Amino acid sequence: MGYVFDPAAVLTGQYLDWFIWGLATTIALTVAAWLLGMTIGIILTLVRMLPFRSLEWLVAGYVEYHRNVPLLVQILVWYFGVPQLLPRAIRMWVNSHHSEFLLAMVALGLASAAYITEDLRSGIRSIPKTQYEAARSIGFNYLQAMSYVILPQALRIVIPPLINQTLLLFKNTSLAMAIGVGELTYRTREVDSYTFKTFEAFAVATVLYLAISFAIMALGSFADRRLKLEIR
Amino acid sequence: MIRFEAVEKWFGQHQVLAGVTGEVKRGEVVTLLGSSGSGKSTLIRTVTRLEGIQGGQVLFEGVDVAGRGVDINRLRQRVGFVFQAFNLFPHLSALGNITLGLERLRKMRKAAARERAMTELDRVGLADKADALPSRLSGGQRQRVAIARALAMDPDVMLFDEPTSALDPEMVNEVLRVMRTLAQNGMTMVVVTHEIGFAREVADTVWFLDKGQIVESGPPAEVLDDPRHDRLRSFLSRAR
Repeated sequence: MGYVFDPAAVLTGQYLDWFIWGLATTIALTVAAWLLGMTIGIILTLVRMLPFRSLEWLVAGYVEYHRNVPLLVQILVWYFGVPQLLPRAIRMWVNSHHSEFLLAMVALGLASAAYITEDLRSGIRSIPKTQYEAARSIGFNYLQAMSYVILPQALRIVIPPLINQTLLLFKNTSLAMAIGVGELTYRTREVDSYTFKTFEAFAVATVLYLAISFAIMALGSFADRRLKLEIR
Repeated sequence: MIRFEAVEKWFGQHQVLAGVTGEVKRGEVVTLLGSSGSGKSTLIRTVTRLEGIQGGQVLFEGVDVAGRGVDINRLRQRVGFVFQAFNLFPHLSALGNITLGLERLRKMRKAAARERAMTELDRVGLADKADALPSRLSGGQRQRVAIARALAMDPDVMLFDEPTSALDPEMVNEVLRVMRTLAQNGMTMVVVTHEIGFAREVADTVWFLDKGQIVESGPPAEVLDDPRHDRLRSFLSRAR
């Protein structure tokens, strides 16, 4: 008896709903974690460039932890460990507000920030020191020179590595299934165990993941082309 | 307006400024001449603390620029600085290069900043290039935008660090013309340059630096036409 490949079987009724919800959750998790990662990444970059050795080491420690501990372990630490350290009231609130989504977002965002700050730093280093000098000469302080002159240029240079980080982040959201976040992979497993249509379920997931990945890449190269052409 | 008092600076073991003393008065145009390595660029960079010093004092309007309580960012807004390599911000248009400081430091409204920037661009003859990115401008145009950027902040004094050294010969004059007009309008200027002709024509005072010291200073007619030091004599004969 041959196996009949029938994707339509998993794209009906509640199964279709599960896929849609899974995809929406994956996208929401990606966007939220990306925004968190970018924000923390930029802050870390500014902090590590301040002339204090101790801060530099602190950021270096942050980067090494997040790059060298498996992401799954980081997610589990956030989900099972961190809430216990919180005051009771906050813990209750977190637990009643989709804590798994929130904590997965934090874990993914903080891990991304470690990579993003590394990319940003190398971007900043590639901006000639004379740009900083010119900004300071107009009367800008360190933070102003960074945010109006150096970072806008560095960001353009680091668009390609940032696209890479975004893709990694997007794919890594699947790890959030380990703490029960109902994202795409989690939902796919569900569809699989209800229908036993394993190939169909994962084929649908694969296509959806690929589609979003391509969309991210297209968006990235659009931004890259628009911004880069203008500079040099 | 600017006083150097026995200013000393070392780069490691090498002394670049060996006790420079001199004064730039309001409305005066001072030109610094000297072979490369004589310390002239370093000297003007000490005024806005782009370079720190190890001995002596640099006073701006009577205040030690390295003193406690000096808001260096405020001071820098009052001192325009023009670099040899222009140092325009490549991600901003000619106009954007000028409005950035007006909007962020002077807190001007967008429209007002734009208007002010256009006035400055017009002054350097580049009103039609307002929206061009620096990459689309020639070297001479870039330097003129850089001058407009500095002028827009209403500085009390303008410092020029070899403003024409990075330019092709045919572009030198358009920049010098702008500087000449500026001088005629009474701007206080300190100009590090190799353009002897400009010094002769525009400067009130010429300082000749050698090995980190001012070895000769005075009106151009005196210093340039009747040099007393051998070093200056050979410098002038090579420059001609």
